[in-house]
Amino acid sequence: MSTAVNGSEATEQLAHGFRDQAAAIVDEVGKLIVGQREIVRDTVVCLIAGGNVLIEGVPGLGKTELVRALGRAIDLRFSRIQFTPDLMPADITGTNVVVDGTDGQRTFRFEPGPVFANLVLADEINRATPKTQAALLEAMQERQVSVAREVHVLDPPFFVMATQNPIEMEGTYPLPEAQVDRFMFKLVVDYPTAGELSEILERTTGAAQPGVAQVATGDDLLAMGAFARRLAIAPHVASYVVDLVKSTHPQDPTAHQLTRQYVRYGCSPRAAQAMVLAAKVYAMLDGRYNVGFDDIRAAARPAMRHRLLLNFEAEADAVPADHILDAILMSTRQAGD
Amino acid sequence: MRVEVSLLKARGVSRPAFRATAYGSDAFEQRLIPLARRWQRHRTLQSAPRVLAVASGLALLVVLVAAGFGLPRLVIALSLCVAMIPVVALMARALVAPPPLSAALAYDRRLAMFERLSTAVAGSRADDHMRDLQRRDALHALAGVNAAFAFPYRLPRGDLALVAVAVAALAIGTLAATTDVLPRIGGQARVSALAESLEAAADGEAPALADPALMAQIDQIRAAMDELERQRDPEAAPAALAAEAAGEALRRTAEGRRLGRALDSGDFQAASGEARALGEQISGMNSTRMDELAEGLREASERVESQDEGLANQFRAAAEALERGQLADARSALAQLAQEIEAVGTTVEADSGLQAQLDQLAQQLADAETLAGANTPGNEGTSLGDAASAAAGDAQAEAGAEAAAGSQGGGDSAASGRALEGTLETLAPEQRLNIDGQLEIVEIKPTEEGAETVERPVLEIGPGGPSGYEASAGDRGFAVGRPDVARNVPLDMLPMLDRYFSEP
Repeated sequence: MSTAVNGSEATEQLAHGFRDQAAAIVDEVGKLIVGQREIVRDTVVCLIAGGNVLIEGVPGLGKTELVRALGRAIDLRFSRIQFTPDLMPADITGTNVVVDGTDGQRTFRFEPGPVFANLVLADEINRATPKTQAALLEAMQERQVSVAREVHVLDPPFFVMATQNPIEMEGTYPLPEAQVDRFMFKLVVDYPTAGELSEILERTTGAAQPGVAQVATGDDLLAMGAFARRLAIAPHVASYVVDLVKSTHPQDPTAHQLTRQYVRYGCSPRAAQAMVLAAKVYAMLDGRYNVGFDDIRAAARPAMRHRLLLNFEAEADAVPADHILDAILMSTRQAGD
Repeated sequence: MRVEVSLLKARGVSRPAFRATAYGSDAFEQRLIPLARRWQRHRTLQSAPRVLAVASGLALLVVLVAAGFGLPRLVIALSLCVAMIPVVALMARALVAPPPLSAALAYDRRLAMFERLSTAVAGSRADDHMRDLQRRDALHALAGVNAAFAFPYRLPRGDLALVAVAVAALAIGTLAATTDVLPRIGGQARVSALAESLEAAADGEAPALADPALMAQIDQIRAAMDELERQRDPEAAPAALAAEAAGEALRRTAEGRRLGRALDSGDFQAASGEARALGEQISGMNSTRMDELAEGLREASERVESQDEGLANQFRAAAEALERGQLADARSALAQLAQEIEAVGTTVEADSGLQAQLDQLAQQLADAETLAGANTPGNEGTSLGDAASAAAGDAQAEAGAEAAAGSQGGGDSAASGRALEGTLETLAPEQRLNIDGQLEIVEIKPTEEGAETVERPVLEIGPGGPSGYEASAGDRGFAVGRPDVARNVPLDMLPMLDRYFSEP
């Protein structure tokens, strides 16, 4: 019993440390990013949960700056890849180059690409061709790169934070479904409010530029992620996640009416995993040791919006995925209803 | 996931029990028990008004059905049974301890506790330390729960109004059914059956139906009549006759004519005023008129002596004072006479009210006895005899009679007519059809004026629209009416028609 109490107290200490460190990261990033508190929080949640983030928004809203700030607040090897239509896969993963040996022989040596980092910023990812975009698939899911039949393991932690412009813009290639599914969250950055815009002007056009201090390391992130996974989720809360995901499947008997009308393919199991993991981090940040329905609901839209493949009718009617998800969240019953 | 859901079911869908057997022995679940019971009572209270309203509606339905089948005595028992079933069920539900998970979820939801309690109850696959930490967190949250705030014992006003209306409807329905109002109002079929029975009995084919409700009503009317008879003042009738006799004597004198007329017509208030006026006028009278008035007063005294000695003494005192020429004494005697007349008037008028009520009851009794086909020897002399004066069908007097009879209704008054199938030969001697073809009771009461009972021939009137003339009974105890010249009456019936509607 005594051991158990001691173990519980240690766990409690870890929980307090978790909350303090997460709050410090959010605060540091907040020094550089004006407003967008929810985007910053969700990005940090993804980092802690070990997921990749896709950030969408029109140019100039601070997407890249957000990722750069995160890279500075956390002691991580940071690399940035600017995706362009002529970018090749080898430009991302790296390639074998011929080098002259001291003995006069020439050998192939693997030259790692920018993907060999802890935090990779894939800027404007949808401006590259699908072939190049797919170069990130293996790295994002399996944390490794295969080049010339040789597997190169990426050092943990490894995060891909991609930004993309709305797909309706000129010169963009929609991400393939398989790759989209590998992003834990898709966050949509909106225009700042008038107040936030004034604050941005004040901060960025003056002589002094705000700095971001390093408040965590990659190991801290890994420890926080491991701790969050220990959190309790009750069966009825997990069941709610299942119901939400099933409601997005058009062929399922429990599917929502809007799902049947507008959705071609529903969410994969990765959506459920993403929701539960993110909900656990939300609960930790809130000072709880269990996942609640509200945590699930907070994670539902960023975890599912990019995993809903809408049909032509939805495009014709201009029905966004968020609208369908809102309806699903409204109608799905939770235990105790 | 399937395993987790089954675990959830095992924990949360345990059967409700009066004892909290589903709860664990640790501090958390023991603390949860009173909160769970509070929630259970709260939600029972919330659903109670609607359940009671539905139960009252069902009970009302049962009451109406029972009343329709002529089972008034079962109505209260049935309505109580139907209404008590949900009450007992609600009470039992309030005492049950709900499953722990349901209670935990309810508090999580109501107090926005982010599933702290339900996670602690349902358990999880977290490691021991984390589970312990979570349970401690839940216990801490539970300690701060104010159950009275979360689930107050409060009833929604709208639901209360609903249940009030439902219970009131049930109460009215039960009352109406048990006091035989409903069968009388709505039981037209039974009334028709009784009418047919009466007809058949008159034809000698079958005995009349003995309706228990009707017999009970007859008993109640008789009891009410007995009570009214007890309340009557035995001196009222002689006093009224005495006043009338005195009035007749005084009408012959010039000075006492107005007083005499007032007494003769029964207007005692006016008579009292006239007596006082005479007292003030005597100083202006000459001796001849004074003597004439004294003679009238003395005659009045002699006429009323045998019926009302007090009144006779006052007349005599006034007459003697006038004969002696003592004007002051005469004035005083006339003032006392005025007071005595007032007292007599009060007595007579009170008795008249009782008599009117008795007449109405007699009318109802006669109707009821006709329907029941029952002869009631020993009571006929009073009830049926008095029915003649009630044939006028005064609605206000009828209402008074109903009140005296214990609010037993009276909607079947024969004076208002009743549809009767059959031939005219089946009618009893006291029955006839009015000009609308409705059954009417025409029992005639002999009066002091010597009006005699006239057995009217029955006039068969063909079908047609309602007539502008209504058959009615006069104030002297006989039926009067006017011929309906608009109707097509066979020529050979005209003499009979003329005789029928003529004055006796």
